[in-house]
Amino acid sequence: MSDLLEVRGLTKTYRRSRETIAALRGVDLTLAPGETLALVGNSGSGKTTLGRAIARLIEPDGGAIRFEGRDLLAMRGRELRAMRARLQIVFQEPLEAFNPRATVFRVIADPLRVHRLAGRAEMPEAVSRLLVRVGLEPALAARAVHEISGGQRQRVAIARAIATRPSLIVLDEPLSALDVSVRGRILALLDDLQAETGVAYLLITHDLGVANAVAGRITVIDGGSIVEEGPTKVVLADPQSAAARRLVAAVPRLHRRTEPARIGG
Amino acid sequence: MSGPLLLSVRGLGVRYRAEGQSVEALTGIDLDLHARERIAIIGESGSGKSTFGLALAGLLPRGSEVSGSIAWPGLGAAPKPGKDIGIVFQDPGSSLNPVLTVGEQVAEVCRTHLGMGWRRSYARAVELLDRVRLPSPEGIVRAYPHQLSGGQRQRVAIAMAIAGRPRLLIADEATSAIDTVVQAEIVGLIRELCSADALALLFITHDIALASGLVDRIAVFRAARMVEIGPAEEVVSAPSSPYTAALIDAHLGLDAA
Amino acid sequence: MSVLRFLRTPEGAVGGFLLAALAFVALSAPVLFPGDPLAIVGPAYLHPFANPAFPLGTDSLGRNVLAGVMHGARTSLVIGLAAAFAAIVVGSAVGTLAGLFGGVVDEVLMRITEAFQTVPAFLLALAFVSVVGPSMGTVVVAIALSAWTAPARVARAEVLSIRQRDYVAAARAVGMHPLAIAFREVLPNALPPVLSLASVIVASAILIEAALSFLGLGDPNVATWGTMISEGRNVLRSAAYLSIAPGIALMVTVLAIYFAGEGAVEAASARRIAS
Ligand SMILES: Nc1ncnc2c1ncn2[C@@H]1O[C@H](COP(=O)(O)OP(=O)(O)OP(=O)(O)O)[C@@H](O)[C@H]1O
Ligand SMILES: Nc1ncnc2c1ncn2[C@@H]1O[C@H](COP(=O)(O)OP(=O)(O)OP(=O)(O)O)[C@@H](O)[C@H]1O
Ligand SMILES: [Mg+2]
Ligand SMILES: [Mg+2]
Repeated sequence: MSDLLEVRGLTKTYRRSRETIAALRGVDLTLAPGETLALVGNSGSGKTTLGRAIARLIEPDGGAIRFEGRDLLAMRGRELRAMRARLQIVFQEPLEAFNPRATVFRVIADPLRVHRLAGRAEMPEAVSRLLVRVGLEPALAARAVHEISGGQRQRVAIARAIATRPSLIVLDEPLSALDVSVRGRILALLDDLQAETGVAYLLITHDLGVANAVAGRITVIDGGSIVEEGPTKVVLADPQSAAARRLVAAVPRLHRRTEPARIGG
Repeated sequence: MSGPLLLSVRGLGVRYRAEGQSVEALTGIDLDLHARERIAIIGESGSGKSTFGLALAGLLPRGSEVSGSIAWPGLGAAPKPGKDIGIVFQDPGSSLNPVLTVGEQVAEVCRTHLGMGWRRSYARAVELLDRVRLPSPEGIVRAYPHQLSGGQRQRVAIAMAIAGRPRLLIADEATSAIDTVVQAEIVGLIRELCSADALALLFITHDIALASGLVDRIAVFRAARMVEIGPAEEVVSAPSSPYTAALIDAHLGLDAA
Repeated sequence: MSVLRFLRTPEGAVGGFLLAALAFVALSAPVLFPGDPLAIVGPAYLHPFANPAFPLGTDSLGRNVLAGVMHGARTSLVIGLAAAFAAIVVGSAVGTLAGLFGGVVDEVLMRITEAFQTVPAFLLALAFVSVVGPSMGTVVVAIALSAWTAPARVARAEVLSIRQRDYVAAARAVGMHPLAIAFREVLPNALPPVLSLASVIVASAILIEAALSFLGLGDPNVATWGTMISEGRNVLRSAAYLSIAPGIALMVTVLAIYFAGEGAVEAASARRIAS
C-alpha cells in the first residue's frame, strides 16, 4: 500500500533573540493509511514543531512532505484550505487553542460550517453527536471554553479534530491531562474511529505507557533528529539509542508495598 | 516529618453559575494540610480537582458560590496568591503573559513578593529557570512564551510558582507535558523544596504512579466529593473505594501489554 | 455588572452623570424647541435672564441662544460619535489586516497610516471640507480621515501578539478563510484596547467640529457651538454671553467624555485583576 504521509529531510531552524535553534535536522518519517505511529522524545526535542509542519502551520526551511500522494508544501489558498478537512491536529494546550470568546458549540461547529458538512439547522444535532462521541454531555455546548475542566477541554479539542472525518490526525499530547478512566474511553474512541474510517494517527506523547498501549510503531526524536524507529514492543523492551533508554528508565512505577495488606474494610 | 498545621478545610462546597444553570463542582470537602506535607489529588476528569486548587488560592471566577470554611492557622492571615501560595495552572500557556519575556515574568514575581531589586530579581530568574532544568537558561530568559515548547512553558510556570518562596505550592497537572526524564528531576526538586523550605504541596495529577512516588498522602476525588484519603502506599496497595481500585488497574505501565 | 462597576469609579460617576445629562439635553432639544433653532424669534441682543422666554438671551439676529445651545449639543454629539465610530471601524480593520498578514500588506498599509498621521488632524479636515463643501456628512468624513490612524496602530500592535496564539493556528488548521480569521477570530480579541481610545477620539472630534464651524466650515443648516462662538466673538465686549454659553457647553462635554473614558478604563482593569 502506498504511504499516506511521507516526510523527507525536513529541517526547521528558529531564531530567538540571539540564539538559533535547530528544531528539526533532516527528519524522515512515513505513515501508512490507518496506522498509528507514536512520536516520542524529551521536552524540546522538536515533536510539536514536526507535528505543526506536517499540519502546514509552520513553514519548514527545507525538505518535502507528501500527503495522499500530493506535494503538501506546494499547496496554497483554496486547495490548502480544502485539504485541511483531511488532515487535522489536536494542539498540546487545549485552552490556548480555543478562541477565548468562543463557546464549546462554536469550537466544534466551525469545521463543520467551513467544510459545509452540516447546515445551520442540523448543526446542534451534529455538535451534540460529536460531544457524546468524546464522552461529554451535549449540555456543555452552551458553556464558554474556560468554563469547563481541563480534561473536558481536551475532549472538545478531539471532537473538533474528528468532526471532518480526516484521514490523518496529528495528536499532540492529547491525553496528557486525562485521568486513566477517561483516557481509556478516548483511546477506545480513537480505535473505533480508526476501524470505522481508516484514519491514521501521528501520536505525539511523552507517555511511553500510552505509546505502548496504542501504537504499533514508535519513532524516537532527540535534538531534532530521529534516533530510533521500530515496532513499539521491540523498541520499548530493548531501546538502542541513549535517548530512548533514558526515557524508558524514567517511567514512573506504582509505589506499592511489596506485601499488600488490607487495613480496616 | 510534617510540620505545624498550615491549612484546614471544613465542609467546602463550590457551585459555578454558567448559562443560567448552576453546576455543583465540590461538596463537603474536609482536609488538613501541614507544613512540609505533600498531598496528591487524583480523580476523574471534571471531578473538581482544579476547582479545589482555585478555591484554596481564592481564585474562583466571579459568581461562583462557596460554602464551608478554609482556615489558615499557619499564616494567621488570608493568603496572598503568588506570595503565600504558588500556583501552576493546568494550562500553563494561558497563565503566561504573551508580550513579556519569561525572564521578565519570573523576575517580576521575585520583585513584588521578595522585594528584590530588578537586577537581583533577574539573576534569580535565571537561577530558577536552571533549577527547573531548562536547557541554557541564559537564552531562555529572553524568550517569549510562544517561543518555547509546551514542556518548557510548563517549567517556566513552575519556576514562577516557586519564585515568591510560597508556603504552599498548588501544582495542577504541572508535569503533564514533561517527559519522564525531566519529570523525575522536577519531582526531585519539589521534594527538596518541601523539606528545605518547609513547603507544603498540593499535587493535582491524573498519574497515580507519579503521585505514589512523590507524596505522603493521596486524596481521591469523584463527582465533586472526596471519596478516599490516606497514606500514599496504603491507597495504592489497598484502595478502599472501588473507583480507586479501577484507577490503579487502568494504569498503563510498560509491563502491561 | 460592568455598568455598575463603571459607575462606582469616581470618574465614571461624574462622566456618566454628565453624559446622561447631555444626552437628555440633545434628545429633548426638538421637543422643547421644535422648529428651526436658527429662526429669528425675538428682539436682538436680549441679555440672559432678562426675559423668561429666552433664559440665555438672544443673539445679534434675535435667535434664541438656549435653543441654539441645546440643538448644538445634538450636532456635536452626533458628529463626534459618528466620526469616532467610522474611525474605529476603519482603523481596526486596517490595523488587523496589517498585523495579521504582515509582509507587503503591512508595509503598504502602515506607510499609508503614517502619511495620514504626519498631516495635523485639523489641517486635513480643513482641506477636505474646503474642497468638498460643508455638510454634516463631509464634516464626519473629514474628522474620521485623520482619527483612524490611532486605532489602526493600536489594533496592529495587539494583533501582532494575538497572531502568535494557538487559537489562530487552530482556525487555520480548521481551514477558515484568512478574512474570516481576521474578522471573526482576531479582531474581536484585539478590540478592547482600541475601544479604550474611543473617548479621546470622540472628544477631539467634537473639538475639531467646533473649530471647523468656528471658521465657517461647519454645516450651515444646523446649529453648532462653533458657529455660535464665532458669531459671538464680534461682539465679545458688549455681549460676551453669546460666546460663553456655547463655550461652557463645549468644555463640559469634552470633560464628561474624558471622565467617562477614564472610568471605563478603570472598571475594565478592575475586572481583569479580579478574574
Ligand atoms: N516559535 C519558536 N521560536 C523559537 N524557538 C522555538 C519556537 N518554538 C519552539 N522553539 C524551540 O524549538 C525546540 C523544539 O520545540 P518543540 O515545541 O518542537 O518541542 P517538543 O518536542 O514539542 O517539546 P515538548 O514535549 O516540551 O512540547 C525547543 O527548544 C523550543 O524552545
Ligand atoms: N467556570 C466554570 N463555570 C461553570 N462550570 C465550571 C467552570 N469551571 C469548571 N466547571 C465545571 O465544574 C466541574 C469541575 O471542574 P474542575 O475543573 O474542577 O475539574 P477537574 O477535576 O480539574 O477536571 P480535569 O481533570 O478534567 O481538569 C466540571 O464539571 C466543569 O465542567
Ligand atoms: Mg510539544
Ligand atoms: Mg483540572
